[in-house]
Amino acid sequence: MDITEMQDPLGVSAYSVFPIPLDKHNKKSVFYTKFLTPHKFALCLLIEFYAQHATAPSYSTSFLDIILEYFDSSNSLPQSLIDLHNVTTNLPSTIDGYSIYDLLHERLWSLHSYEDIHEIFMSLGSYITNLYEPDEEPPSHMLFSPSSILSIFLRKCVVEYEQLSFEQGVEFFKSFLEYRSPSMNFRKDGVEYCKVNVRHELLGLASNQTLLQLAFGITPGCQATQDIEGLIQLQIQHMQRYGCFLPDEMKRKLHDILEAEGNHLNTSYHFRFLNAWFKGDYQQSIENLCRYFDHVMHSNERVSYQYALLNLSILQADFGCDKEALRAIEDTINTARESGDIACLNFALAWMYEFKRSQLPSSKDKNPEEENHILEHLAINSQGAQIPVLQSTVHLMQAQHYLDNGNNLVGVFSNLAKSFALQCYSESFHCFSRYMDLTQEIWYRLGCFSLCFNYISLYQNSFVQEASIIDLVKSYMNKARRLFENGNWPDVSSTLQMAKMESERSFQSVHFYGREKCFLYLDKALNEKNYKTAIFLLKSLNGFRHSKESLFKTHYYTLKLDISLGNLSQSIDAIESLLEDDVNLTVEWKLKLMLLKVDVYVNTNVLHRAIFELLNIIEISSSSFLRLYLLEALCLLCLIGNLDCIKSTELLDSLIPEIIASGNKALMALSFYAYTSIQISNYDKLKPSRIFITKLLDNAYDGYKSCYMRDMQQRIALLKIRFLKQIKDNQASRYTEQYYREFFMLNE
Amino acid sequence: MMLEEGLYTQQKIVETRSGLWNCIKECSERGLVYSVRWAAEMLAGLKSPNTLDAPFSSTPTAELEEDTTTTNERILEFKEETTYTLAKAYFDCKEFERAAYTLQHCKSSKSLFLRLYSKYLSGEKKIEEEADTVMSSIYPASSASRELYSISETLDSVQKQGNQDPYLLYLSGIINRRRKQYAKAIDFLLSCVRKTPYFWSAWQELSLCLDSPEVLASVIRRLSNDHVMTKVFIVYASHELHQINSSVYEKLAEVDSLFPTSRHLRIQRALLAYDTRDFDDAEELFEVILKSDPYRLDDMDTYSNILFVLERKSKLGFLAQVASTIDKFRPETCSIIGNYYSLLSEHEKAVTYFKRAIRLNRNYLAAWTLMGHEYVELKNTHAAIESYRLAVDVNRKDYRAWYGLGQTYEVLDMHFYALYYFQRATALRPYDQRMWQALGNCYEKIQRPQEAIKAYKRALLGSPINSSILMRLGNLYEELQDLDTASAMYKECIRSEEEGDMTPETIKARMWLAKRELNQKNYRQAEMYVSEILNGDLELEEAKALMRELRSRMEHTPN
Repeated sequence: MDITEMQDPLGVSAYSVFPIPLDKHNKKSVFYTKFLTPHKFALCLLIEFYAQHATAPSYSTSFLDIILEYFDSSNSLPQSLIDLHNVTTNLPSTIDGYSIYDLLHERLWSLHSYEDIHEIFMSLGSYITNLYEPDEEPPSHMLFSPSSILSIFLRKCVVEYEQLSFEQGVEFFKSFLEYRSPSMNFRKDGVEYCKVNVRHELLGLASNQTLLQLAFGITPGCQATQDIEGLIQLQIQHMQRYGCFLPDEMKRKLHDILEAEGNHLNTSYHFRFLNAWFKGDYQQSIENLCRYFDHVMHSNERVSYQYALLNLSILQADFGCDKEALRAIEDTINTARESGDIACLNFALAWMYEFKRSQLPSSKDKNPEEENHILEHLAINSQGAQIPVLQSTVHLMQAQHYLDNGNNLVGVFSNLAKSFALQCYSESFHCFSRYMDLTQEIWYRLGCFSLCFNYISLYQNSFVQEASIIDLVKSYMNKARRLFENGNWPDVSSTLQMAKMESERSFQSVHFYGREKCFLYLDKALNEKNYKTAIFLLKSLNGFRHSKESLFKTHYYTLKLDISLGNLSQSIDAIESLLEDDVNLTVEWKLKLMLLKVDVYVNTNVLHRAIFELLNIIEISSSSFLRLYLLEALCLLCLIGNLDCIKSTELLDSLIPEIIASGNKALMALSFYAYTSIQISNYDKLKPSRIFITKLLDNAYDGYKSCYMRDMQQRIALLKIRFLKQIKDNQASRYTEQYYREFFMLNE
Repeated sequence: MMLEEGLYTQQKIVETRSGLWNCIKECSERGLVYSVRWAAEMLAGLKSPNTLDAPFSSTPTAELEEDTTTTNERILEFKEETTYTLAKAYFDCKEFERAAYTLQHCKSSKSLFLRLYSKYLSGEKKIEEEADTVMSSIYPASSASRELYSISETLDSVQKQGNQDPYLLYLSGIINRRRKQYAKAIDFLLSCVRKTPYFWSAWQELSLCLDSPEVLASVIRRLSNDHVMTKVFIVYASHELHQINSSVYEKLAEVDSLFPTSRHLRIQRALLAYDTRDFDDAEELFEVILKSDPYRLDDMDTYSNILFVLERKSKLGFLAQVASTIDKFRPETCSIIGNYYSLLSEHEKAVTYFKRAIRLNRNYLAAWTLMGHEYVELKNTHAAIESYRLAVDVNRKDYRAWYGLGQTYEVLDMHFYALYYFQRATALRPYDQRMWQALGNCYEKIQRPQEAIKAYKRALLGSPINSSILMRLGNLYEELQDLDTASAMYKECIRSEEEGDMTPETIKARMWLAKRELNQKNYRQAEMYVSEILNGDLELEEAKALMRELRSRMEHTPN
């Protein structure tokens, strides 16, 4: 080993016996402390410089900024000497030609053995006012007030150091050597800094390789559990907030810390639980959830069993174990009641209500009274519990409830307004996504496309950084659905692309995206009469987990397919049986099914029944503020109702502006179709201009085309040809040819 | 003549080698691991025989010379081989009672030894278990002492039947020592070492039975003078009794010629240097030992004591790091770390480590004494006294503990009480100046100047001149109005000072002498003393005033 005498800044004869650390090949071990790390020790030295007026006065503020920034664990800045070097190397000190880093370097390299570090720790107390004897002569250095952030930091370091056993102290010293080692390569004006690390008295013993290996053989890295915990907490917050697993790159960086053998932090289990959950690993997530709560309840009194149960039930529900989830939530409620935890009780009740609302229960479990009772209970209690998040959620739940029942528009708006006000008041926007969803939903129902779309865009533009993944994907899918209805398929594709990209961040959102995308394509396939694809998509829907709504959707599309395939009697029976389930059906779904019924009746030419159904739809939709359904029903009534042509025309005239505002292309085409159909049927009486009718028909055709509704396009084309023939227009033959080319040659 | 000498040495080497091998074999069979380790170390350090000079013999000798008793033993051992192997296996797994139970019907001396030794060790284990706190008594009254009695009875009956197995004798020696029957223990152990001279544990036990140099001398008289093991023992026991003289070094040199690379002897040399307070030499020797045997922890606590005294912080820290890497649960390691913390003025932490050392081995004497020192530093005199007392209980020959006790009582102003402890310390270290000085100080405090003078004079005997002792002597003579002797003492004190190194004592001596000369009107002499003071680094007002007075007197006195 080369032992070279070096210039020691302190003037003590000291030598370099590097390479220390000796083992470069072994996997680095980690020494865990609670708070103290070599980096924080280096910060202590910087504070010492500051106290000794070594920093240039004009740079004191920026110097303090660096210190404060670096010991705030929540900002997770890297804790390496290289980073410290980069920020302090340009800060001048009060000594000419020396930067703060130069001083720090000299100080760091003047520490040769464990006792040097020990002495520094022992001297740090002298910088704090009350540790200094008042009778003594005041020192020349600065004294920090005991409550100042710097002295708190110093005290924390010293207290932890004093609690270290000798073995731990040595490990800390060795980790300090490891921390310091990158500075061997630092240069000042192209010249190497000093590299002194062994005192003269040690030369004899340190020249023996075996002894040196025994003393400094394995130099571990040092990590403070508080820092790790802060980092994990940050990740947990990130995961909880966005509902997604950790990106692979970040996971790789965290891997060493989280997978380390010595790391038994409770939070790491919590982290693993969330990661497994969002990756869809049921077994691992249950395992880690239980492990987390087993450990945390031992060390943290605040966390109680009811929260373990609450988490478990959410997890069970998410993985489709509905019965288990219900049992767990019932246990949560009971435990929370017993322990008098009102907050947990209310959250559990709110969650149970939501769960029951979204699931299709077996008939014996169903008790709508109970659900209403829960909601009422929550509405009353959330007020008293003074938990704004819960209160706001309950308002949104009430708004949803009114939307489902569809008879209280005032209730919906007042609850939405209250929820928003509470969110603003408490500055907590946990349920903002849901608020925006409900708002766009209500405007959609009221047939105001621009407002609905604006709300969606507003949410996506301004809240995308804050929103959880599942909410964001939901929002994208809503947008795609609205665009689809608006006949804007190219934008639908691009929106789906974005949704796909976002959805890949969690298992739940991947499922949601896949399912909703299936529904969209299914809709399109049915419109296009592409039955093969439709059947395939319906089958593939079985691979997804379903909520109550998605189950209805599946039934709905199955029925639509059946009707398209001509299985009419079978379809009508199925619709009837579905409509009997009055409890689970929301008004909207009821109307959708009734419209299907109308379709069947029209197809079988039982027009009086169709008209009867339409009248029913009109009544329900008008009382439930479901404007789109009302408009559609009215258009259909005009089309098939054999009404007075003038009144029908007037009615449609008045409806068309609203229909256009609703942004629903199919509905708009239907209204044009109905209008032109009446006009053509009563041509002699109404004498519409040719150009007006053909223009309307062209618009209707384009509208259906943009919605891929091929049979309706065909119908419009036929109507146009018929009309042209009727008025003996010489263009008729050209259109006939075009029609033939469009619909028959393509099919061939 | 040279050839004869060479042949003699070769024969000695061969004999020693065969003796050590034999001992290794026998001790291994009996689970006496430390003796095996020692013998193996000595064997490794033994001078290589010159095979050319070795006497050649084609026939084995020893085996054929066995008497009938030995033959009977061999037959019995052969019969009991299976049972013995089983019991030995239990013994190796530290299931001592199980081993003893397995051997209950065995008759051979070897089996009997293992049975009784197992019982003894099991009793020791129980003592450890029963001692619930660190500071409790070392030998609690318990079933373990009954165990000792039953072992002793069995051994007595066997020995009455004429069984003189050396290992059983060794066991008798241990039992008697534990029952504080030292004379009997010495008899048994001497008989043992005569039969098996290379059995080191027996020598160690024998050394533990010695409480004074006189007893050591009487024991040596009963041993064969020219046997190499007697010499090794003399070196070891002298160190244990802290009675180092030139003959010990001679013996060590003699043994060294036979075992030139022995680690045990190297350590003995270092320990002797430590005992004679030649810390620099001791440090050097220990450093060489550590470098040649880096995983060694035995006696490294002594090395740490040396580093502590020399205030080699870094070295001590390095040693502590090495020791803690090798085995952090060895009493030696804890003691080293304790010393290191003590040097860093972390006395509470030091106490923690000394306590840990004691938990690991209740008979670990060094830790008791060092813990006492730490308690003194922490001003916890009661705990210090208890620690020192327990140290003395473990080993009555530990002068440091006696001395510590005396010092602690001095802190409590119990000078008369402290006297007893200092007397014990001086008895153990008759040539240690510090002990006599402390004794003298005590006498001074209890107003017994005559005894104090004797003690101080004894302190100066054979030791380097100490100015503070001379100063004290001067003071005492002054009190007794023997001003001439006092003056002589002060003058001696001034003479003792090194070149230009004026100490507070020598300044005081000069002041006293100057005043005396002034009173006797020897102004020139007085002026010389005062100007010496004023020429030094310290500026003393008193000296200046004296000088002024001197000048004025000189001015007013004609020639």
